[in-house]
Amino acid sequence: MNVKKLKESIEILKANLDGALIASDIWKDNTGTSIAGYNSNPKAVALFDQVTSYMNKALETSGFPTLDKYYLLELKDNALVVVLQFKDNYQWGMLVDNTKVNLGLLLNIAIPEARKAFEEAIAD
Amino acid sequence: MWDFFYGDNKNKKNKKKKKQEKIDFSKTKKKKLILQEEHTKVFMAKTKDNNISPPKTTLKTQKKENLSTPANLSSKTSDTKNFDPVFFKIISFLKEELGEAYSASFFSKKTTSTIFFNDNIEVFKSIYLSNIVNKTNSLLLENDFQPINNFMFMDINNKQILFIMQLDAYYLYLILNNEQLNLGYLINILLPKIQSETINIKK
Repeated sequence: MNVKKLKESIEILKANLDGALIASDIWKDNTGTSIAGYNSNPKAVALFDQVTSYMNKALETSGFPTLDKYYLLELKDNALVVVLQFKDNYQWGMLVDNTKVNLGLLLNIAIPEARKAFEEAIAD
Repeated sequence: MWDFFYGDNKNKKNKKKKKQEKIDFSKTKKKKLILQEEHTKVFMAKTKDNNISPPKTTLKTQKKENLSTPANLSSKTSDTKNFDPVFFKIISFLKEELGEAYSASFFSKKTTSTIFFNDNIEVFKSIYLSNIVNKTNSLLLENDFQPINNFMFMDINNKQILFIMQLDAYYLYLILNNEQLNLGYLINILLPKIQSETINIKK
């Protein structure tokens, strides 16, 4: 893993979201601890690690396939939580200000570019 | 005189005609009513075929696998008679608007996790899924985060999306085909419309 590139991928996300990114963390599945982040929030990492594993269990038990690329929660107080899933058991969570960015930009531009940068960093 | 005679005759004929029309009209009215009744019967049969099933009173045989602690499976199904017909409307509206993107859906009541109007999805599956929002919300609140507001969704592996929207005292779970789905249309146009419909539902 290339740590420099990993940090760069967060910078790419930050730049694309143009002030809408409140906090972001990258962690490995079932560890609940952050590898890299922006305005890191250890509590959030532990929480969303738990949420992801719960969702996967619920989907599996109900006979559905597990999570693919991401899940998104629209929270009260205009916040969006997006948690990206990666094949190498990494997760990337981000808290975004809903009023400063639209969903289309987030899902179709910011996230795909960040994902691409992250995958390059992991492959390095 | 002749005019008068013919006129009188014409009046008589007109009266006869009107009477006949009245009879015909009442006949067509009856026919319409019969047709409407037949239509609703066909509709109900179709909804049955589409698995919009009036759920059974209790679900005794729940699959208990990894997730199945009794607390997690507090959900019950109930009779659709107690629920507003708006739920039927919402499902048919969404089917129409989403077209091929629509795959399955069900409602759950927030407070009791009661599941109803399962459309194209087995009851046991919906029971497991219905706990996702409640569990996520309780985790969020425990950790001083805000709860879910209007919606959440998950991108799942076979090109599907599990979309959950909050409708007043209920959650609507939708299973959608990711490739045909226009997410913006669902979130910005359909969701507010449906939310405004459900405001008047008796809780």
